Amino acid sequence: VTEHIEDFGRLIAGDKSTWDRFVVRFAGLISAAVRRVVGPEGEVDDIAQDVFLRLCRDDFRLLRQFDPARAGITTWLTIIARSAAHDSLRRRRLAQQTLDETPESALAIDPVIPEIVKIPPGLLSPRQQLILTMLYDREMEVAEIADALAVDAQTVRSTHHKALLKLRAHFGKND
Amino acid sequence: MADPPFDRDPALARRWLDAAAALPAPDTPDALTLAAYAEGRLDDAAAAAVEAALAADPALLDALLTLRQPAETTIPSAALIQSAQALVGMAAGDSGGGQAAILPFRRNATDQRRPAIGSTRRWLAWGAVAAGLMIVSTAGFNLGMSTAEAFNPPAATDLTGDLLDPSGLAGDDSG
Repeated sequence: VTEHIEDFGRLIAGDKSTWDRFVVRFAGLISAAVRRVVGPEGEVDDIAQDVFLRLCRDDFRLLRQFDPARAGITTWLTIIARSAAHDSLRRRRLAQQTLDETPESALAIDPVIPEIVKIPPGLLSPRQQLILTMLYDREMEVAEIADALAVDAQTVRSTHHKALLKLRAHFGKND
Repeated sequence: MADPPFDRDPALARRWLDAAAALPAPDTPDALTLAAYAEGRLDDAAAAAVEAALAADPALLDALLTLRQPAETTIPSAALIQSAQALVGMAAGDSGGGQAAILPFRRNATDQRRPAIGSTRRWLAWGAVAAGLMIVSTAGFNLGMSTAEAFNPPAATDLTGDLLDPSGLAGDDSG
């Protein structure tokens, strides 16, 4: 439906038959992306319907934001569907959360904030930050990170090495 | 050039992660920018901004990692297709290919085809049925009366005349 620019034009102009074909073509992709977040027992159809509603409401405001020249429609729709599924989970969690389940620290009038060492914002480059996060916070392997960032494994190792050198220099200076 | 040694330093990385959590969160990229990043379509500066956000936002990183997995699709339910298609309906007087109207959420598609109560066509149909019933009942009544008269002809004597001129009755009595 959206490979051809004139089709996309008809879609956001509200052409009924183009919308119907769009729904048939992407309902499976959207359902799969939602299912990945909420699980097979979740309300997949309701959330997928919400995705379609988001796309077309307010005169197709969200769909108009899509630009076929910048990204593929399947990639973009997957992100939109995941976002809708996370919103749904968050709403359900908030609705179900009782006062008893709220941790005491959240209810404290003066919560105790641990003292945190300050670092300058630009200490590490964004890619160094991301690779450290994936290695140490997510505990991902070098090969997985390389796949995720579409770079080779050597680049991951090298970036990690340079990041550690910077951190050692910074914290060594300040200790 | 030889690979740099890959020595993990969890303690140092944890120190940085804790400190980085206190930094102001970078702007979250929109879905289209994240999709463009995932497809490798951003320039270095734009990609660095997305990577900074990915390092700081676990949900965003999850979204990217999902996009890196093989695309999934499921067979959507017929109910989802029907309800999603019904979100965009034909506007009044539109004969196709024109502007569409957004219908309320979860409206049944069959409801659109049902004519509204009070429409001219419905009233005309009911009027025709009522007129037909009147013609049939009048014809039936007349036919019944004719049959009754054929089997039960009215008496030859005109009793009314006797009542107006009682002399005739008196004559009978005398005979």
